[in-house]
Amino acid sequence: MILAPDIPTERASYLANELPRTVEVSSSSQFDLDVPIEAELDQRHFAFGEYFLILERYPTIAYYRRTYELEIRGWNVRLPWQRGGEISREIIRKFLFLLRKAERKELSKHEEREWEEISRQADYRRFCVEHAPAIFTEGRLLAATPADLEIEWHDGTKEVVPRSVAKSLELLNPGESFTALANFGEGNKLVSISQVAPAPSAEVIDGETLWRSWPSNRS
Amino acid sequence: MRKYKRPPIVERAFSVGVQIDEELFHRRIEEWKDLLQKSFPEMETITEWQIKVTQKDGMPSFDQNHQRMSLKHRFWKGGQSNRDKGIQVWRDRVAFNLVGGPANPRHYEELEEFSHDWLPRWADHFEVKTLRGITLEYVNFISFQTVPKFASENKIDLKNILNFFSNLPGPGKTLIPPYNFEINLGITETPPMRFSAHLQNIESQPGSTLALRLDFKATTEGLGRKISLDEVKNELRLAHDLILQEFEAYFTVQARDSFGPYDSGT
Repeated sequence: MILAPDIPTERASYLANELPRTVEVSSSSQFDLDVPIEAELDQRHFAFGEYFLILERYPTIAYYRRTYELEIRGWNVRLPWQRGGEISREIIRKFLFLLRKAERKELSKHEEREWEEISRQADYRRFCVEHAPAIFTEGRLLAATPADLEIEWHDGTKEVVPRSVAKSLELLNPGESFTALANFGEGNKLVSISQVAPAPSAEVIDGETLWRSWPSNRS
Repeated sequence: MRKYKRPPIVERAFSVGVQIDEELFHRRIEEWKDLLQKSFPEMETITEWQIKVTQKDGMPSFDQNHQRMSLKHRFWKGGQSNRDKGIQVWRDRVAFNLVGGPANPRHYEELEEFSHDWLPRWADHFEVKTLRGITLEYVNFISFQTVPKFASENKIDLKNILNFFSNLPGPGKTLIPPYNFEINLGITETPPMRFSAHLQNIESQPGSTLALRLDFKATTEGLGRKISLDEVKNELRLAHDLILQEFEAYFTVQARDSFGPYDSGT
């Protein structure tokens, strides 16, 4: 067994990171303080509250030593270095504000250019699918196993979902129909479901049956 | 094994290395924060930088290809002024920290119980089944406060504290600051372990007390190594025992006598 030569040292100790330490670098010239230090952030998935955004590549963060500011390159976002832990919030916030403005066609010329760049960096389609509002839907519970529930949607498609995703459907017995508000993710798979209510079976509300049973002057 | 009433240990940190899918980790971290909110109310996300400085055309420069930054999530039980028990989370590591101070070394059993409570919850939340191994770190302070018999406010008699320096080779025999010493050892047992000892100055304000830090670290982490959660307790105990053995070997008899030894069987 080869022990990893690159296991980071002094990472887990709190005091090791809190106590000041200096590493001297000798040079015949001075550092140019106007040139920011750029580093690649080692994550491209960002979560804040209910929002989750995936970038196509790892973002670059610039640190300006004269102003003690961080900049998320290509996002036109700057923040004091003490707020570096809020990078996820700032990225999602910027994306969401521009997205909503773009949807309302309220982007200024400058914001249009920003949005063009940012929407290219982010997985825009996935964000929209995941954060689309819940839609009204109808279906029928076909079967229930200890792990999964089988559903037939109103258009006849069938889907097996884990119980954890559709807990409230456990109120129904197999064969019973329901209406609900549902969120669908990639591949039109059910992501969450709420406001489940028992409904008459599809046969009962079948349009043809309803038409024939509709009262008329001849009846 | 002897125990000590006043060992110079000021922090005990236990961590495990792991590989978690990037998307899964970031999707779950917000819920993890919610889970810890009640028990560890002081939460912060901070940046960590790995900076590499090179020389280019006679100028020190930061090579853009080698600079890395990451976000670390820390959760503390106490407030800003009382950070004595905390959990730190990275995508590839979780650490459990017990921070004490002079005359407050905390205890291994406390660390074991702490991790026993929270490691399974962390593993369950992030769907962790295997680990790269474990790492245990003890931070010792060597100063007027922890070894008063051998140190004054501006002088530390290191030769009488650490065996390593009691018989220096060569004509020079007087150790003077700055102190910086590191040694890494491979322990070929089962599981294979690596032990390191690192002595360094603690930078302080001009006029304040001279102090050194001696870190002991034992790790079973290795490239390609996989252990289950059930194996953690045993490896943690082995790492602790190794550090205790090295502690006995590194500190002189006189120094250890000053830590208030007692028989752990009594």
